[in-house]
Amino acid sequence: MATPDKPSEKPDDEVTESFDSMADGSDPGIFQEFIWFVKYNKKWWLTPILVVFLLLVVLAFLTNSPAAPFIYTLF
Amino acid sequence: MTAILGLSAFYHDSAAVLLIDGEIVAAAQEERFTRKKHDAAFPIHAIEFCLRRAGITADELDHVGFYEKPLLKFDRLLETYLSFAPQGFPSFWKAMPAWMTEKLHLRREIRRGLGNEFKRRIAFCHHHQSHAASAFFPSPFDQAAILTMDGVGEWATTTMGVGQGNKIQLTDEIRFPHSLGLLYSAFTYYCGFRVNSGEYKLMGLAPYGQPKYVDVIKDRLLTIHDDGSFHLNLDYFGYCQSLRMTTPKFHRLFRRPPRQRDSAIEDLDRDLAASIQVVTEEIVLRSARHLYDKTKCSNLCLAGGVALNCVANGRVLREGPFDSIWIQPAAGDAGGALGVAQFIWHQLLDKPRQSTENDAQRGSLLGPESSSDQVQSVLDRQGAVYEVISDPAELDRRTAALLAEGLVLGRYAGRAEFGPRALGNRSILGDPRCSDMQSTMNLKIKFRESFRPFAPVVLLDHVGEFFDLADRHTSPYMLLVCQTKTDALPAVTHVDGSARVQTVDKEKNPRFEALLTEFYRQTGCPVLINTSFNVRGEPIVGSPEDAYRCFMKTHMDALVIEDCLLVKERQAGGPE
Repeated sequence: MATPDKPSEKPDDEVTESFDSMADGSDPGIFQEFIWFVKYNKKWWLTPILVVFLLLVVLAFLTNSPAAPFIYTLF
Repeated sequence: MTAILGLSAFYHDSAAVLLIDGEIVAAAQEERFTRKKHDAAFPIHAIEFCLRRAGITADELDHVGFYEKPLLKFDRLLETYLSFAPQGFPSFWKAMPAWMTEKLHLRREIRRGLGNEFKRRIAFCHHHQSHAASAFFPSPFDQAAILTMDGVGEWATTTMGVGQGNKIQLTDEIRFPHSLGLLYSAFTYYCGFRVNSGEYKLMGLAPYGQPKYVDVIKDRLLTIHDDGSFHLNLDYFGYCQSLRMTTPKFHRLFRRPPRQRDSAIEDLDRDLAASIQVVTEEIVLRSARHLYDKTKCSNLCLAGGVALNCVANGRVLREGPFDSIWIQPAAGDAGGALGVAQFIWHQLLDKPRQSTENDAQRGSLLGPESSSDQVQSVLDRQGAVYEVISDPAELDRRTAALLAEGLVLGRYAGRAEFGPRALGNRSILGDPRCSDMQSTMNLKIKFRESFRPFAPVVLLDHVGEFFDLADRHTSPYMLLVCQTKTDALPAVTHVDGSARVQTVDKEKNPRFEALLTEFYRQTGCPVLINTSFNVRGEPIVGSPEDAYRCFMKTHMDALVIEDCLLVKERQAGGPE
């Protein structure tokens, strides 16, 4: 048995705000969430992998777009 | 008023649950509406039902919670694929489109599903926190140890902890890829049953075999420690890096490729089913003992898919150190929707919780219901021949008489059950004293394997006469297996003399209790066969239309839908 991982620290807003008032805030967005995730789970080593992965996804989208001929000359 | 909507979706058994001021107002699984078994789609119909039941709209919801954390799950996928690269590439390639377009954008998907009417932030709870919350908060205990075991959520596959008052705390976990649920699913796959739904069949097959392979499994496939934790030998399992549960090495060990679904069940399948059942029970029992040593709680709450293994649950109750156990009836992922909603109410909003002698699950009768007018309108459209019997006592008398004649009868009454088990309201019933009832119901009505046993439903006051269940224990959710004490009930007694018993009392389901009491009055037998109202491969019926359709395409003899009684021989058409 292992002890569940503890996050390195709580999000700033979580420290001061109640759950109910936090619920009135706006959604963080996927990039903000990734940053929180990496920070609070101490998974810094994932950052370059996620960046490369993101670039591959962008590339996959671009190669199917009108920009494809320009991408081709670059790669 | 505080309205909280809990959701589970996108993996299997998507569901929605609505709490109003902490009370479970409505809960439903999407499959009952869409008619796709284990439907994983966003539970739009289940949400609609929950909101309609409470008479509110999505913009009146105070909180919406999702039963797991998608980013943490994505992290697990990514790390697993990286660990096994390049081996897992086909699996990675198959999984990623859904993640990129849907699963990583759950907020957007949920908002869209709620018609963009819900404006507040959406809460995400750990998968096993949701299970643990669903196990403890509705339970009748003020303090209890909590054990959750399933395939996998984000990283955890087993968690242990304690619940006290209005808080739960998980203190220990076993992490992916070491998973009891996935181990059991690997054998389910190898023995030719469908992963995620065939585990019940494997459990039902186990008593037909000999546990010959227990030592092989413990020597080669996993190491079990004293505290119930275990370590799988991943050379034998393919779920990390391939689209198969087992590897060629696993197949060489048992000298056969996986059984194909349409091929005959062999002795090897029966013996493996028996063996993995023994191993599963050993792990669950050791975990329970370790948890007791650690917490010294006298009560145990269980949830997660493994908690649907009612044979293991029965052993924990009989041989484990706990005085009482309570198992969440929707122990699989559907129950996660309930868990996250209750987690928000008690843990995050810090609302008090009052445990009661009866649990807060309300018999798990939390789903949709139909009025008599709605039923009659459906039956009229279908051209059905039926009789309306408005007096409930007369309806019970007629129904019990048909059952006593040895007829098989479908019952659609009151609110639908939340969870995989039909508990009397969406059930097919029969007389357990008939020796040929098991094969009749399996082959002519359920169209399923003849070896599969049926469950007995018994009046609570009489449980001790027929079943080896201690007086202080009840089994209202059909999640405990115990030995039968009599030979008088062949149709519900499994080959090893066991039965998956359901107890019925006035508190949880008064209408069903009245029917069983009437059957007892007429026959002297307080037991009926209870099996879910569906045929093989279909979800349990969700509407009067489904019930009528199922009635007409099987050899069921009679049907009671609310206060309407239908007898097959009076209907035009029917099964070939």
